[in-house]
Amino acid sequence: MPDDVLSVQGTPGTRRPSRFRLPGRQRKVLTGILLILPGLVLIALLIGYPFVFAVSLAFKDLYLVKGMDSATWIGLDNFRKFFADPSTKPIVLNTVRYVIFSLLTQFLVGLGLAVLLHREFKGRGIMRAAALIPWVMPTLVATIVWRFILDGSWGVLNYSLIGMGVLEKPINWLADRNVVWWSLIIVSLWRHFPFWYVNLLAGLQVIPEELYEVAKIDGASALKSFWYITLPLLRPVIVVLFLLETIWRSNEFTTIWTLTKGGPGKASMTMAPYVYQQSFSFYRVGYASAISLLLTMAMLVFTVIYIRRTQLEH
Amino acid sequence: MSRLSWTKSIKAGRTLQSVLAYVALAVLMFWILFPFYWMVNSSFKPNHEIFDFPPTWLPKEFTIEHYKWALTNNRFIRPLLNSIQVALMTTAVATPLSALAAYAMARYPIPRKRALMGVLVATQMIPGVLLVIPLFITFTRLGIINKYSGLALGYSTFIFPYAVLQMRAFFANFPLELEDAAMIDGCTQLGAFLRVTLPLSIPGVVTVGLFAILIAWNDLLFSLILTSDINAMTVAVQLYNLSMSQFASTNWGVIIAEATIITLPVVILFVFLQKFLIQGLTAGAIKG
Amino acid sequence: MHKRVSILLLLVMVIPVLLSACGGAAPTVAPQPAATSAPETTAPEATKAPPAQPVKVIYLSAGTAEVEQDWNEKWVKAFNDSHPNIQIQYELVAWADLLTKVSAMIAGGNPPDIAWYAPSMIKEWYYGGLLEPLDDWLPQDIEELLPAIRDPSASDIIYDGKYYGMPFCLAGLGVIARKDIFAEAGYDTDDLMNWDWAKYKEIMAAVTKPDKNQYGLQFAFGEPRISGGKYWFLTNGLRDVTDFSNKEAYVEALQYSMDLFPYSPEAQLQWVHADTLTCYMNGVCSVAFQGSYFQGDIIRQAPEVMSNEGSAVLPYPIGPRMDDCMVPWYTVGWVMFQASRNKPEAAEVLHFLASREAVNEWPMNMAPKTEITLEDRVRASEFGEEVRWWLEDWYEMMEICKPAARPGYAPSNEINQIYTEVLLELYYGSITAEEAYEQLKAGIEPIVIAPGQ
Repeated sequence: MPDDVLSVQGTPGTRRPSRFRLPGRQRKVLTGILLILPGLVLIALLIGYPFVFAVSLAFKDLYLVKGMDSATWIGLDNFRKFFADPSTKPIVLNTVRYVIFSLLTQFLVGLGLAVLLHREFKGRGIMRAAALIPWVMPTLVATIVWRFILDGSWGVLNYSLIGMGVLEKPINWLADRNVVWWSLIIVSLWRHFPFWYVNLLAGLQVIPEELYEVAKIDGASALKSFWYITLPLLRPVIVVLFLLETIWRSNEFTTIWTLTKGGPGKASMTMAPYVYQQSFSFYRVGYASAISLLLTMAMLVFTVIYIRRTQLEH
Repeated sequence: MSRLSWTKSIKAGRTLQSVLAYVALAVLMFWILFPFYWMVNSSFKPNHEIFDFPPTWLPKEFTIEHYKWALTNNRFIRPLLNSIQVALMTTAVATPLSALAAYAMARYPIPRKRALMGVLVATQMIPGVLLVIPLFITFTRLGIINKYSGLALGYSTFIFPYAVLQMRAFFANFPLELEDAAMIDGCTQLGAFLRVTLPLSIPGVVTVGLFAILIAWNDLLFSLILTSDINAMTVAVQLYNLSMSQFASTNWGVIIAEATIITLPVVILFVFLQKFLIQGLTAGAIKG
Repeated sequence: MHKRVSILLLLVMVIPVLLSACGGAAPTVAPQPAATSAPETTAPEATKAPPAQPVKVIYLSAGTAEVEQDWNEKWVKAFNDSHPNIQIQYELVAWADLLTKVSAMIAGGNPPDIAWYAPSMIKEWYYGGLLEPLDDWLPQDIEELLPAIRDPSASDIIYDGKYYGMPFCLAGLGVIARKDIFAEAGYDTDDLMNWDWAKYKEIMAAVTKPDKNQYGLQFAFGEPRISGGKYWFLTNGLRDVTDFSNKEAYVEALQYSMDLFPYSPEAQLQWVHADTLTCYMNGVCSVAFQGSYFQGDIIRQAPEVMSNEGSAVLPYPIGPRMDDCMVPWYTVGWVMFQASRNKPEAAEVLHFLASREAVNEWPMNMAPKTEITLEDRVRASEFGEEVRWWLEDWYEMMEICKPAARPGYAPSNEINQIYTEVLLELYYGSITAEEAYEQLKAGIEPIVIAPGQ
């Protein structure tokens, strides 16, 4: 219970006489509930109900070609199938790898840019805004443009790299199954780092300037004050970003699907596009629901940590 | 080492640092902006030049034909207008809804607040792909399938939890004294919120509004399934049909011009409101 | 319906406002139950229908291409204008999402009435028991179909002796070749009507110049339904990729695919159909695997390539187990769903579309109807004389070479995924053609729905 509410209640004379028969506190409780109710109703209707629906499908054998009514209860068979399938392991590993690489690269670039754009200089405002562009671009637009740039046959990236003498022969950024992976990370980094950057920049703004000045007087180098002042004070933001991004990147669908469809073969397939493929291409909706339920449960761990952290604050 | 040379070397170090910082910044900004530049650049080239080898860094034959084509084509204009409506409706619904809920979470003695917070956070962990088919069926039953109002309602719901978490922190940090003063003047707590807290929380509200616009404008997964009528379809769906579906168009100029057109509104919005966004995140900050 | 949502939204917004008054306007809290029950009471009044509302026929089209959208818009408008008692609600659903959407719409209580089918899809729908037989609804229109389409052994629309599809187009499949690139390598496309695998490979090798970014063909693995190199099964006497009846022929086809890989750009592994056409238009690829459709799309982008001087239409080169050239064909058209609530009206729409007049007025590809000639098609095409050479080539080819029905297989997406993965292994050299055959057989046979089943 946030004590601010109590303090308002406790201040005499702040409440005007109520025409309500309800005692003040109960009235406040009711008002509070009414204020969050519309949102909760929407959540129950458009997230809660579909979620329960989907969970129930995870225990059924639903082949969509035969219609939704054809679903039969099969207990845990979908889950057994998932763990027995040899293609499961590479996809899970891909997902873990994708999340780890995305998070690390995004953190580093986001932090670097936040620090750079925290300095005072001319044109800072426009650069701060420009750095948001990858993130605000519609995902589809971003992948169309990247497919265009990365194409092995007519992409401008190959042309430039060969022209500069970095490459001898073209690289098939999206078509080579050993390379596609890195292309995916680069595009994901490009697309998602601004969220890190903008939150870290916001975090930097609340660090009092005096701390740095004291450090300077004490003779600390910039690197030292970054290490001993900036990072520790950014820690809460960084931790939350890591938690949220772990969840979001694990569930990442549109970027991967529109960029590579998980291909070639399954070289760039991660969990969310795999679920989509099972459900929308193969029509194995029960199986797809089971896989995404497992994914959700894995995310539960991070969610619980997140909730713990946010609530420790109070 | 004399005092003088000591400061000198520090100064030299700082200059070097600055130079390095600027170089790093330049490299990063180049990488950040290149795809955007390449998109705009290609959109002004005729189709044959788009695939020219070597590529042209500025259009050799400057053309606005692709834009003309897109902006006179009802199949692009109609979805564009739909998307604008969806984005505006989402913002109009999600912002007040989550602002009030966030305020309630920050100031009102709601029972089981922790559990509620848990629910809000938990919604974030559900993968969107899991919900698509059940959501389609739910929307059909509610009669809001193929309607942009339905889509807006969906997006408002999806953004609601994040918006509440974001703004709750914002309001919780707001000084109580100002609200108290308003309440002494005869406002209810909510009245005080509307008259005092809210106007001073504009950055927080704008931030949430921007997030709402972003989710509504950029989503493909849900709009692809929930709208298939050209009168309700979002522009992302139509661009998807044009560029990535089975018999996608080879009309690259138009695809890229359309991509540019739908990118511009969000870019302009964020460039202008960037200050608010950073302020909003600073005050609310998704802190632990 | 729309009103109901608006009212709901309005209420959602109004409650907080009521709660937030200052000074005089006391917070008269509206009790929540009254608030939520309001939409039910007000909505029916607001949406009270005017008398004799037209019946709505929900029509799902997978025609996302520009030409197809043009086509749909034209005839839907013509139909709606001429039929005050029926309104077509035209919805656009990409092929990839069509089946999912139909099933979900039925489950949600808003079944579609008619939709497009393609070869594999109609098989899947029939297998799922979703389709309404059309024999009783459209007897006369069925009579007018081409004899080949009415042949039960070849057709992709007849199951258990009943018609489940009403085709609007007949699509032939073949190769389009760039005359300029072929000529540069010393080949005349006029001499190639009867080419075989060996000749084809020889030409592909001759035109491939990686240093100049110029290649022979492309497989487009990003979208294996369209290409992916599966034609070599058909041209070696097999039905399709699911036909394991002749191991030697199958292995030969796989081996041939593999032999052709060096003559294709590697970037193709992520290409979709549009990229293969782009490749052809740019001259990076000397041929494209193409149906008799969509000349329009290329004509718009590259009129000089897509002309009688620029391109030639050729049949697939044949394999060692075939004697004569062949043109695979299939139909695309409409189905009606069993769940449809307005079958008579839906049938009326189909009848309107299937009539010879409509097929002539809104042409799409080659006509599935008897008595519609090449001249009719040229006259009706929006490109007019510009497409004459193209249609002539196709009609001529279908006459010279044996037309071979290609009914499709199901579940096509799963099979295509297996095929793509195995072929990649073959391409990367980690398995032999024979091992690829075994892997494909092991993967596909347990899931394939037998033809006619």
